[in-house]
Amino acid sequence: MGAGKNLLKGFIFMIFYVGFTIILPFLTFSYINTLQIMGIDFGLAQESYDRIIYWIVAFGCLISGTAFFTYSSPKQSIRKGVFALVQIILNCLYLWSYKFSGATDVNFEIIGYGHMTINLQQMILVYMGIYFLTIAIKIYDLIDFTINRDKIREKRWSE
Amino acid sequence: MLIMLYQSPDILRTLADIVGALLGFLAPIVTPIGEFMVLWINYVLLIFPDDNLIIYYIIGGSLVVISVIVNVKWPGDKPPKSKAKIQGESFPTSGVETEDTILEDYEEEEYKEPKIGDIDDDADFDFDEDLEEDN
Repeated sequence: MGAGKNLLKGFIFMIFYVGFTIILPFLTFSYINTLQIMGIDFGLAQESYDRIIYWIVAFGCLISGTAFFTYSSPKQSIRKGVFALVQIILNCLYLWSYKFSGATDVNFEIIGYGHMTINLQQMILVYMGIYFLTIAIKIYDLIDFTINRDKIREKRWSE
Repeated sequence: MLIMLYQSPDILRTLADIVGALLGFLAPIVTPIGEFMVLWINYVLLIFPDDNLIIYYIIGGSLVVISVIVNVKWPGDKPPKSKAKIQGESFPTSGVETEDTILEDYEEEEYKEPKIGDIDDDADFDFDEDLEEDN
């Protein structure tokens, strides 16, 4: 596959990751911030909202950049393995930043009534465990790509 | 139709039950690992600045630019060692015998007129034997 095709593939995946790690969460939290149910305003505390958006944008940028690098790299190449691993680790940080920013412990202010809290910490912990297994698989892939470099090249060449 | 399906409280309750059951089943195995993950993530997150988004934009942009440069320079179509020998792309051609090099070597050799003394005795013997067989 030539450089042009690689870059196009990387660009498509980067757009996908920008959508899923920045735009979608941004719109969701913005929507929650202005949510009204039965005429009652549900609002995130402004400080909490700002922190959530900050970490979403920060890690979203890093993940999207890494995704571009990963998906524009040739199939089964060592650099693809390295950046796929980095991307998974960044995904973990991104996910945990939800907790860090307070998004897993969301305080809703029901104006005129009081507060409501949604705690998603346990769910995030389960996700983290699954991510650990994914990291193990990515490390295995990286070792495989490194050891079988010549075989992979021959296979790629014969395709 | 799909929206109507989701609006039904029974469907939502069933979905919530399924997700809850899955989480409940996985939790004892995966949660301790998750706690270990959280431990190192908390240390790593201390490195990341929490007051300046520009750094993240620069890192993200740099990754894209570096990736473009790397892909243009190394697009991943380098042949394997076995193929490279035949094509002579990444290995020096001086040591590899191709049709051209063999022909050049042949032309470089000086042509010598064969002398009578150079012919082996065995060759004469073979010739006599062939004559006898024909007769």
